Parts: sequence; structure tokens; C-alpha cells
Amino acid sequence: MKVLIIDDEEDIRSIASMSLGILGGIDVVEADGGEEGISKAAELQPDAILLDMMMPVLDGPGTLAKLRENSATKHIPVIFLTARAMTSEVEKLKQMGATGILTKPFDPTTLASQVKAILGVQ
Amino acid sequence: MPPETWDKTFQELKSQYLTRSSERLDQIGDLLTNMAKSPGDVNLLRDLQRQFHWLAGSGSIYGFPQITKLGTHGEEFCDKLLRNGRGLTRSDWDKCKALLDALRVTFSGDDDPQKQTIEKPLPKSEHDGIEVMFVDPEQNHFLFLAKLLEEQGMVIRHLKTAVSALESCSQKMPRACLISLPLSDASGYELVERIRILPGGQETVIFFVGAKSGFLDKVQAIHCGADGFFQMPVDWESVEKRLKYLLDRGKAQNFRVLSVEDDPDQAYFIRAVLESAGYQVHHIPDPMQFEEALLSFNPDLVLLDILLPGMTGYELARYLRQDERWATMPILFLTTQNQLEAHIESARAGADDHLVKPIAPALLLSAVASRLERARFLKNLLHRDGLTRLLTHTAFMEQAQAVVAQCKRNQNRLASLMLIDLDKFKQVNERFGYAAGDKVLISLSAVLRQRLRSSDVLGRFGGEEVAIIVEDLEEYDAVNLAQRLLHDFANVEHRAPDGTVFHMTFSAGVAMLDPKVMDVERWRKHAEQALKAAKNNGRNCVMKILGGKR
Repeated sequence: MKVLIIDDEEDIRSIASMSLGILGGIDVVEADGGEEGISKAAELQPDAILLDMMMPVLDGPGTLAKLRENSATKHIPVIFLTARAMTSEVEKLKQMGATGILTKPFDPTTLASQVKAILGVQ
Repeated sequence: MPPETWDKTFQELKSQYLTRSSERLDQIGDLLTNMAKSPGDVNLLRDLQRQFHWLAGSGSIYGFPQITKLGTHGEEFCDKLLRNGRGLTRSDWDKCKALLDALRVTFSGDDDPQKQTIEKPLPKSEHDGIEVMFVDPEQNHFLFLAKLLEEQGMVIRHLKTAVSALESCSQKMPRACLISLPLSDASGYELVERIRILPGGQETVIFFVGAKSGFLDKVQAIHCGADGFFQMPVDWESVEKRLKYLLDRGKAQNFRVLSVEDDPDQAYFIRAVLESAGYQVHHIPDPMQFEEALLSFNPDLVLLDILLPGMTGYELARYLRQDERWATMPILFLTTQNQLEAHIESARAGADDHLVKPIAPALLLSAVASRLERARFLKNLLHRDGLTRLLTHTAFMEQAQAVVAQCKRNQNRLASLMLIDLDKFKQVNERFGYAAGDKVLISLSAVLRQRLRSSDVLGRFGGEEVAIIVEDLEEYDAVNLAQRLLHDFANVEHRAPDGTVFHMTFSAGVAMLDPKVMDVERWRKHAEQALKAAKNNGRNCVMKILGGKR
């Protein structure tokens, strides 16, 4: 299983990738912004994308919209990472096509199992 | 999972994080310096918000929940400033500076995540520190009970003989004694009689546990002054329940007594006697005020005179008894009427006792206390769910209503509603049977009870849904508390009848009450929406909803 993490914060990327990799046995690819993320997604075809909400230039919802427009990436499940999991916001993101939402700060010891639970894999 | 690799990697990442954090704090310091020079610069404020946002999002991940908390404050504060668009005032700047200082202290103070997480200690159990003595020659009968009690912070003294037990009691009387029969050096009954005459010995709760328990044994146990007799093999959870019930009995309960009495001297006497014992007394001379006083004062017991202006006490008693809201309310008559007919009439009107004036203070107090005790016991049975001992749906909603009313009066009060729903509970029932499911519910209620304050309201909404009202916590803390409850509950091992060990999780929705715009139904709807969001988000998590008050 391969997951792409799109987040501009190196600290978040590195711990999320360690946590998914070491504790979850998941292959991880990183991108430090929306644009880079979209091209890596199209090229590498990950099984899921972990997407930060708040990023400079292209933010999470903007990135999601572009991923959904692109025929090479529109089928890939996207899980948001956000510090504000308000219900209204969650609904909005779901309508936009997000598969799940994880709150930041997350627990690095359970991140992998949460991602797997959202994707419905063991 | 190779945990060693993980630990090592985590420590490495953490030290990098700490290095970068100190650079970040310096950047925040620079930003603040610039902002002091140009307080109207929105871009600086945006940069500052980003820095706070980063701290908020990363702190807890690396084991610094306090950093997340401070970062969140900072981020929200910047958000507010950006929205009102009036630029930075001196006091705004001071606040940002104070946050920066707090962040520095938190980072430099201690980098031990264990210590960092103790930002707010968990609420202590209400039985924390209570001393309980076990007298058991074999030293093994009470092991399970000891564990149950110690989990709640009680302190256990183990003694083998009656002589050492008496010695220990005379030095410091425990709040409860459990005595295993037979003892090697004396009869248990004798020990109880000796304990009862020591200072403080009247108040301590004493139980016997033994093999013999014919009716006469129980009577003898009670005759010698014990509070209960349990027969081996014992259901320890019921002993624990009974023990806690009796321990709470002695607590200064703020019971409310409504007295209806038209003679001012009598009214003064009643008030003086009852208040001296710690009761709250509300007195009305006119029976016409009765209904209003019932609703506003919400008494636990009413004390009625019989001959009142324009009405009799019998009529007031009948009025109470025809309304199910007051079904458990004790009614005592206090009157000069001492004819047989008056006593009979009182009983017919549904009164619990007919006391005759003039009355000795001690008699009045004991009559009031015993009725209150009985009423509390009955109320407990009626209003609580049989399995989990949590409030029933109706009783919970009544309490919720009361909280909403309080918050409407005092808008500074905070209240949040948590709805908790067990994940995949049906599978437990299907796989292991209903008894296993019931045990899961009982352990959920036990975890909640241990972790929450006694003032928090806990109810069972039928099925596998539990509701909690927590007061005086900000939204952040309420969500945090719910997450800790989830964490604790997820760690509990459940054992199915076939020996399989399994773990359970729950999903929770948290909604703050905004008393300006919400009634109890709306509040509940919000919490339900948040719970739904948590379920949709893959379960095993806590979600909140923006309740307006932040």
C-alpha cells in the first residue's frame, strides 16, 4: 500500500511518514505543496492521499478540487488533515469528495490504523 | 510492528522538532518586534497566525499538548484580530508576547512528554483517599474487592486479627471495615461492638463476609451494629456498590426541606432545628404559595402543618400525591392534632409520618433524616438504568433541562454535551452473546464514573449510547477529556465467555451549549450531528461542533 502525504510542514510530513511507514508498513511519498502533490499523485498513483488543509499557495480544498478534475487522480481517496474538524466543515469536505478527515494534532502511534480504518483495509 | 525502531526514530524526529521549534520561537519574537513598529500590517499578523498554527498542529504529536493548546489560543486570537481588522492595539501585542513567553517556558521547562501531559490532572474520584480496613485471617478473601476499591483511589489497610484491627481503629478510625468471618481470636460480632464504642466508630460502615448466613445470622450481625452481611461466594461488585452507597450517606447532603407553617414561632423552631443539622429550609406561612415554592425551591421533603389558613395540610398532601413528579417526595405532618382520627387521616392522605407538637428536636431530626434516606434510595432505583446505574433517558433530559436553565441565567457558565456511542457493539452481542455486551456497557459506565466528577451528569440513552454533561470546561478541554475517556476505555480488556479477550472503542460527539440560542433539543441535535460526523469519520474518534460560544 502506498500513501502520498501533501503537507508544507516538514515536521508533520516526517512524523506522519515515519508513523505510517514503521508502524503501518505503508510506503510513503511526500510532497511539500499542492502543485507538487498533484503531479506526484498522477505519476505514482498512490492508494490514498493525506492532504493538509492549510497550505500557502494552493490550500487543501484547492488541491482536492484539482485532483478531482484530473482524470489521472480523480479516483484516489483523499483524507484531510485538519486542526479544525467542525461538523459543517466536515460535511463540506465530504461533499467535495473527501474520503475522511483526521484531526491535527494526530497521535503518531495510531495514525496508520486510523488511515486504514477510513480506507476500510486491514 | 517493530516498536524499538519506532521509539528510536521518534526520539530523533523529536530532537529535530525541538531545534526547529526554538528557531520558530525566535521568528515569532522577530515578528512581534516588527509588529510593534507597524501595528497595522496585516501580513505580519498572517505570518504570526501561521506560526501559531504550526505549533498548534505539531505540539501534541511530539508529546507537547501544552504547546498545542497555546498555539491554538494564538491562532484563534490572530484570527479574531484579522477579522475585526482594526489593527493591533498595545494590549493585543502584550497578549501575543505573553503567549510567546509561555511557549518558551513550556519548551525549555521540560522535554519529558510524560510530564508535559500532566497539564490538567484528571478529575479525582470522589472516593479518593478514603480509608477502608479489611480484617481477614486468611488475607485472601478481599483481593478482588481491594483492587476495585484501589482503582478508585481508596486506601486499604489489611489486618489479620481482631486485636490488631481494634488497635488500628483506635489510632485512626477507617471509613469502612470489612470483616471476614470467622476470626481466629474473637467473634466478629464482639469486634463490631468494640469498634462502635471507639471515637468515630458509630459512623464507620461495617460489613461481614462469611459462609454462615441464615436469617438469624443476618439479624445478629445487624443487632451487633453491622451494616450488612454478605454470604460467600460474594458478588464483589454488589458489595462495592453497597459500600459506596453507605459511604455517601454520611456526606453533608444539602437536602432541602419545605415547611408550611402559619405559626411564626413554630416556623422559627423548625428552621432552627433543621438548619443546625445542615438542611436548607424554605418556609411559607400561606398554603397558596405551595405550588410556586415546590417549583422554585424543589424540596426533597415537605413538612406540613394540618390546620392552615383556608386549607388543610391533608389537601396539600393529596395535591402532591396526585402528581407523579412528586411521587417519591416524603411528606411529614407536624401538628398539635393527636387524636386517632387525625393520624388515620394523615395516613390516608399519603403522608409518611404524623408527628405531634411539641416535638423534641432529636425526634424531628431523626424522622426527617430517615425519610430522606429512604427517598434517596427509591429515587436512585427509579431514575437509574438497571444495568449501568446511569440516569435513565427521562431523568437525564430533566437534568439537561436544569443545566440549560442555569446557563441561561448565568451566561458565564460553560456546559458541553458529549454523546458516546460504542463502535460495532452489535458484533459483540452477535459473536459473544448479550451477557458479554452487557459487561462492556458496565465497564464503559465504570470508566466514565471513575474519570468524571460527581457533579457531571451521566445518562444512558438506551442501547449502546451514553450521554454526559460536563460543566465549566472550555470546548478544547471538553474534547480533550472525551479523547482521554476514549483512550482509557480503548485500553480496557474485555473477556468473552469463551475466554476471547477483545477491546472496544467508541465514537463521541461534543457540543457546547450556547444558552442564547439553544434549547435542550437543539443542544442535543448538535451533539448528535457531531457524533454522526465521528461515525462517518471512521469511528474511534471525537468530533466537536461549533456551538457559537468559544
